[in-house]
Amino acid sequence: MEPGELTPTFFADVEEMGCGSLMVALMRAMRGIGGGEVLQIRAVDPGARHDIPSWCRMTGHRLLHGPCGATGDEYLIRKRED
Amino acid sequence: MAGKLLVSVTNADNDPDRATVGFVVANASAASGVETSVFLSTEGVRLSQRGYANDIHEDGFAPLAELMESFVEAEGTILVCSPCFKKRDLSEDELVEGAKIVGGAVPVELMVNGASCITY
Repeated sequence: MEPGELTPTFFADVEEMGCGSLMVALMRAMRGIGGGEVLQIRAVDPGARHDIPSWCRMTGHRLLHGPCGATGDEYLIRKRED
Repeated sequence: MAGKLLVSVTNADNDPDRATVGFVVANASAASGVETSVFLSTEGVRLSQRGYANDIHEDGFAPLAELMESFVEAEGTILVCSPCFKKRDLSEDELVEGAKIVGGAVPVELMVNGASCITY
């Protein structure tokens, strides 16, 4: 499936948040959506392209795409089914 | 996610950079679903007092009080070294949310049972 074929349910722009603040923002965003739903997030911190995949591996959420988008700072994450 | 992390924070407003980064890493861990404890010892125990962290805002980071709140929100635990606490004559009635006073056995037990530890 290509990024364009997905319809994310939720959007979040964490701008320049990084490190611990980025992880907390991801945690909060995921708490607000249901299992199986897709979050599209924009994160421009230079560490995000490594931290977001790592966070997904630890939490069990699935990184569908990213970094992607026109500016290469967007991510699509499917929340795990509990 | 298996595994545990113990973040040892030994500084307060004597070294705001170390105190802040300790909680930044603790936030990254707890918000990633890792069972995480912060162990406040030596000067770090001052952070256990309500309002103490309000004036600590290191450049480039979120305010420390905000980091401590989000750490607890992410289900992190704040452990406070009992002798360090008593030595400084701090108040049990003024403990921040999520903090509990412990002796050395608790952090030692965490580590011998496999928790990794990083110190600031």
